Amino acid sequence: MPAVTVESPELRPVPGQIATDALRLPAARGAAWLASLSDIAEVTAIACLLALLGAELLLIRIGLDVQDEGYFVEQANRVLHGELPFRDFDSLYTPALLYIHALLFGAVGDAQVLAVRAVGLLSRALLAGSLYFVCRSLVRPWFAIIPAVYVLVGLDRVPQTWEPHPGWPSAALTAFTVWAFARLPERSGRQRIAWLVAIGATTAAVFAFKQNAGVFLALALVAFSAWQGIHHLSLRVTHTLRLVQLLLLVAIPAMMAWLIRPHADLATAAYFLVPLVAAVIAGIRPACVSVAGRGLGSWFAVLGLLGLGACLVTLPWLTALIAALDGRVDLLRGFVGAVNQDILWRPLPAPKNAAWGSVLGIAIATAAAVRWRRRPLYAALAGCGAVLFAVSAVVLTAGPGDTIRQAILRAPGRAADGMALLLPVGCIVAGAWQSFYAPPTRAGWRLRWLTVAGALAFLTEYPRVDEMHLAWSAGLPLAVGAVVLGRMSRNLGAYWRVGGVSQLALGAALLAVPVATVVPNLVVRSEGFVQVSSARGVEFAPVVRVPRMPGLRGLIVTEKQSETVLTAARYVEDNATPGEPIFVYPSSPMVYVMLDRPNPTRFAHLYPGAASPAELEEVITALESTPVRFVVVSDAALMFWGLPKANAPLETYLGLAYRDVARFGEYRVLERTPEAARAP
Amino acid sequence: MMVALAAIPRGPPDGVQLSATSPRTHANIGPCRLDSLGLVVAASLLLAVVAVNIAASPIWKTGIPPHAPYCEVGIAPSFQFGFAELSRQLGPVMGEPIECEHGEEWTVDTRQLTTTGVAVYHWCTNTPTFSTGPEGWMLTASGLQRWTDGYDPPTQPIVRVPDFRRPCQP
Repeated sequence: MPAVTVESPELRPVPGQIATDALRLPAARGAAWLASLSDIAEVTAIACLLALLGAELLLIRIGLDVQDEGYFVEQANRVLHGELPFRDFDSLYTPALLYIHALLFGAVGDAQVLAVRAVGLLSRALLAGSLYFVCRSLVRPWFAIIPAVYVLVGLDRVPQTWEPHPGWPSAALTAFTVWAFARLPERSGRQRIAWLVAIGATTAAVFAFKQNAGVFLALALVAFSAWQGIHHLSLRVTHTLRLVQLLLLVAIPAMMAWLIRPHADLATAAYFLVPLVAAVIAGIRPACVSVAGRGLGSWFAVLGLLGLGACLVTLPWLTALIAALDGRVDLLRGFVGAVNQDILWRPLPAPKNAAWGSVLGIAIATAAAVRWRRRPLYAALAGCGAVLFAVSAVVLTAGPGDTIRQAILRAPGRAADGMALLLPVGCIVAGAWQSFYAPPTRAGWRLRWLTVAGALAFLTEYPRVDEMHLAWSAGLPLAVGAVVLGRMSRNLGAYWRVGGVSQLALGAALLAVPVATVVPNLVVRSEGFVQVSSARGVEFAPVVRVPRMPGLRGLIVTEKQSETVLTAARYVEDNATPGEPIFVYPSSPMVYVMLDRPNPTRFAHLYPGAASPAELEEVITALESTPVRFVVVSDAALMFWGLPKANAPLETYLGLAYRDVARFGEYRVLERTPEAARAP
Repeated sequence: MMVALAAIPRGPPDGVQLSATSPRTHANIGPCRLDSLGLVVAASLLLAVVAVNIAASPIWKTGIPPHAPYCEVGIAPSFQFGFAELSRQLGPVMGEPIECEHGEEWTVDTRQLTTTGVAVYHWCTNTPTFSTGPEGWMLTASGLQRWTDGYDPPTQPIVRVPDFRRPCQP
């Protein structure tokens, strides 16, 4: 009986790629059937992504984040009013997003919050699409959508907060650039030159949105073009280039170790350095030395084209900005990372319990049940193991006072709490493992590129090691993970000869951990909007349409927000004169926007450590000299940031010069005391 | 992680066609034994981690009081400081505490529910109070005082120096 040739899913021709001979073999009918199935899967996968983005579009009017959304809307308003970032107000990021927002504000009038959300939604769409197509050239559609779905469901926090953060466009453009670089082997001649220049330009665009993301992407391009070249056939290198490769191999982890040195405990070092070292070793491995190999000149040519694209984008805006700042480049020190990391640092949280073991155990026991499905005793043992792990998850996570039903329902979320932070690390290490053994094919070259780019993009998680920032740092590592899962599914499926229900069970085992880690974020997303209680079941919080208020047109907020921050703002509006400067402390800058009152200080967020002692003196001087009559204080934000620490002088001043005149829930309005008002 | 990864057969290199017979051939040699071993080792390690943590969990400890709101695990509600003194002077009127003393949302005061009413400690005036609704009692510098016109006690002089985070309205 002749052997039937089965097309490996990874060998399926991608659009624009010449069809493999497999499609022309006698089993062409079967191959065509597989291809049609794949087309259906492709369409369905893309439809799923569009549905998720559509769901976010439906939520675009819901909620209000007075902190972070306020931060970016207030700063863009300052730009709109002619102020210059870094000179007139403090900003943590490179300014592209500020100017895009300001440009939109000129066109949309009072719908400023909706405008920044629209930019965020477009960025999410580009990120999701780029992640899908990055993975699609390596795995089947159902695995290729995993990273995009995970980002949109498991990391995004709409409608709790839309986070109009430069992380969204920078992550989207990073994924797009990685996709473009992955397509380079298919380009040749002038087209390849144009693509390299364009890749340099998009990398510079990433830098213009978020400096560290741009730097890490550039580093990935520089290192990978040295290690692997721009196609999979350039494995032979000269002695000189090999030396450069080895220098990069050492320099990149060393640079990261230097960067994290202020907070380098063992856990932090392992969290960032283990995946990075694994990825760079996998990236450099297959090269071999030959005098006829690729040399420094070829590498420099690639760098030259990338640099040309980067200069075309960066030089115009950077020159204009430096000129507007009268040459004061010291104000741009944040562009090279010269910032106080201590105030941004958030350490890696330790697991609250060992229930993570239960989640992993369920996945492994399910896989074992599939593996031994033809041996009833072993399969039953594996099934019992899965049940045992599930019960242990409930026991380890049950809270005091929980009923059994509550403990069971809350166990998945509690057991997986904090595991999302470890997922990208696992993905990169697994990707490096697969890359290490990948043959020198185009697919192997792409997997190595994805692993190296993912490992370096993940470094943007520093210094805020929290789940919120994963939305912008974990996309590419998750793409690596999806490729690994796709290959595991294929290889295990082939070796274990699974099909039908057992194939589904194997898929469930592989996806158990990622799915479990999504649950805690779903709880975060619904906080304030959905209340679940054993007595009343699921209840939706009452919402109200925001009455006419600058910047907030078209929004719908919870009744609680309406009764607190909006009412506090109305109180100030009724008592302050139009255009009178106010001060909002410590971090609710949306109040400036909704009152259309200027901020007399440099700071939108003034949490402890955000300003130096000298800058705090300037804030006090500004409050005195303006003089500012009304201060709006959020007690919830004070509690969130903790003790006053470096802000103690400012808080002492506020306590002496102002008195409480009204309270609306967590918000207080303070008015300047008559004594302070009379003082010179 | 590495144990699980090691257990996974890496499959044929890209560019090499799999034939329908190849899985059957590979199924009887090394990788399959290795993957079974990997699964067993990984599951056993995880089972050990989980078992150790369950063994150390407080569910096995006896004599732990039932959980009450705002209380740490293993702590039963009780009156402390000013509330304890107020309870000593009022006797059964104040009842038994049904939760631990805790901060009020967005004020500097603390409160504690009892079987007969609510105890509130007013930080600005340093006054512990207890109210059943229609009547209430408070401990002042001049001793125990009673009021009968609602939950709010009569105004007391502010004894704290107010600051920005803990404002005291006159």
